[in-house]
Amino acid sequence: MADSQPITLQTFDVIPPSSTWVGTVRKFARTKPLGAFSFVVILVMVFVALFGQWLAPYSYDDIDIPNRLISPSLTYPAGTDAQGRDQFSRLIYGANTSVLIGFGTVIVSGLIATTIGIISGYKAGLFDVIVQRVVDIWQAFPGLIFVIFVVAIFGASRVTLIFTMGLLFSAGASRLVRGATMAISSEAYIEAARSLGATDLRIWLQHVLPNVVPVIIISMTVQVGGAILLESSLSFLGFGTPPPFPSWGRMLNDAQSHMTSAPYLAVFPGLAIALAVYAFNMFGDALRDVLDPRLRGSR
Amino acid sequence: MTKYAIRRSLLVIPTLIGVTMVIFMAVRFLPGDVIDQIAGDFGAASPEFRQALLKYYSLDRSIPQQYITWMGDIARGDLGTSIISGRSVGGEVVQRLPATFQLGLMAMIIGLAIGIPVGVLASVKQDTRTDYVARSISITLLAIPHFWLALLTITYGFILFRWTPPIRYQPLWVDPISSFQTLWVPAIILSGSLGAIVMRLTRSTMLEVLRQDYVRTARAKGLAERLVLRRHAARNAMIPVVTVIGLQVPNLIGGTVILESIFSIPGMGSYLFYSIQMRDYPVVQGVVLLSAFAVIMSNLIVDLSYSLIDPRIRYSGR
Repeated sequence: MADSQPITLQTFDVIPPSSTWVGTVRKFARTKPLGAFSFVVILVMVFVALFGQWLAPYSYDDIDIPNRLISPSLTYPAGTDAQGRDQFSRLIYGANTSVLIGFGTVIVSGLIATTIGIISGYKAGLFDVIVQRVVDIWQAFPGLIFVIFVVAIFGASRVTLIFTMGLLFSAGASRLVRGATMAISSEAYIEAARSLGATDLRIWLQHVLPNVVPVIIISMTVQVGGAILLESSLSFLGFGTPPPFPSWGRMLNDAQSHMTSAPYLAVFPGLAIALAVYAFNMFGDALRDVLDPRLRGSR
Repeated sequence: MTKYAIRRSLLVIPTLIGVTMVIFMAVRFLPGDVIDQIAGDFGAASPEFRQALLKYYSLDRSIPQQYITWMGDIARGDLGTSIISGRSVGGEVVQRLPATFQLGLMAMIIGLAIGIPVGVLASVKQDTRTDYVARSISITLLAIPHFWLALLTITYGFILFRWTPPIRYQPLWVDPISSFQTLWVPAIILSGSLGAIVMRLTRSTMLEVLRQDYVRTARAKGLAERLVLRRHAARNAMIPVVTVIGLQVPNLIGGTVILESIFSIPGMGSYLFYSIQMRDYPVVQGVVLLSAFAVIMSNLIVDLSYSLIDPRIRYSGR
């Protein structure tokens, strides 16, 4: 029985379904080259964020006034800022801020959105109506203004930012999870589980959750890009992560005061933000095409 | 249709009440009492002075009482009075809103004027070089932060062309030319991501519509391709685009706030930032409420116009 399988495959000239990790990755790289490229960018970024301390030639707050505002050179690949701090090292440390806040936000958002979306979508009825009105309220605030507002009240720290932005992003994501849950709730296997006396909690965890995971993963991936963009906007406006630890947005804010003498200061942090956001957007798109072909092109 | 419109419009009320409660409660958490801000050193020296100020601004009453007073004022169209400047929030908003509104509207018009035709073009020329270039540009635009583009424009605009953004904003009705001169650069920058989203969506819905039977019929009866696109395809492809425009309003508001601060435009953004720093409760409340109101109303308008464009929506319950 086992021997006959490869023969069948050869006869019909079918590509064997890749069951291994390596196979899946290789297939992904072949069909989605941009997605694979983006994934590599993401890996590099996470690596830099984790090990930046040992990768950066200087510390983020090595002040060196005599060497201030030096244009990019071999010693200082991205130049130095007004305090003589090496911009390249600060860019490396800045990855830490972006990655931490980006991933932290989507984890918070993903947890809230999954819980609310599954319960609201499965319970339906009055409970669903009430929850959805609350989500409406939540979505009525323009994102940036909402976060500035909360940060002004509770102060800007990484934790505040992560929870505020996670809360903000979870509203939209919860709608996606709710929609997927509603579609699944009418399936026969849910009915079967219920008639066997399974508790609601068991149905949510055993039967609904595994089926909405693709939706959650896709929305989380794209949201990382959004979170990085929002954090950098906030830091640029002076409401983001507090100095002196670098954030790409704050580096751009600092660059504003030296526009004529050191224009290069405005270039590299912006490139870093754009590349990071681009990578997460493209990887999310590729994931969506692979995991959930029905959603292709919708956005 | 009217039944749907009424039901949908009524839904706005609980949302608005919820929004006012969230804002009101959040503002009560603001650290650094505004009274301390005004009283300065006097406040610590004389508790009576502090008490008098609290009474003057009705901050001594219970929180539910304050909320009800505030709601009553809003219902009468009074957004409150700035504690710092003593001027009415409504009056200040009337002066500042035109700049913000004009910037947002200009960006939206530019975004649509570029996004829709390019989207249609990309769909018609699917998988050609034109399509590829249009898609690459739009994906890139989605990743570039507005404020970085603005910063680069100002930096290199000065270095290369000795161009500096005009800083005196004049309302449209006072001096239309100078008003456009001040806003056209930020408006183009702001329109980038909106245009990119509209372009992508137009392209994908057009691709879907172009495969429909009625498009084939229109072509089969010998209608000129230009008319097929304009009358049959594009008109139907626009329905989802309308929704996306509505969903982009919050982003547009956020974008104007940032660009106002970079281009020193005296709009709602600078007012909000200043008031947050000064802990000016009534102003913060008023401005955040207005921004939420704008989002709620734009969603309402989108839903209603959606049901006008697409009759199928009216008959489905919700």
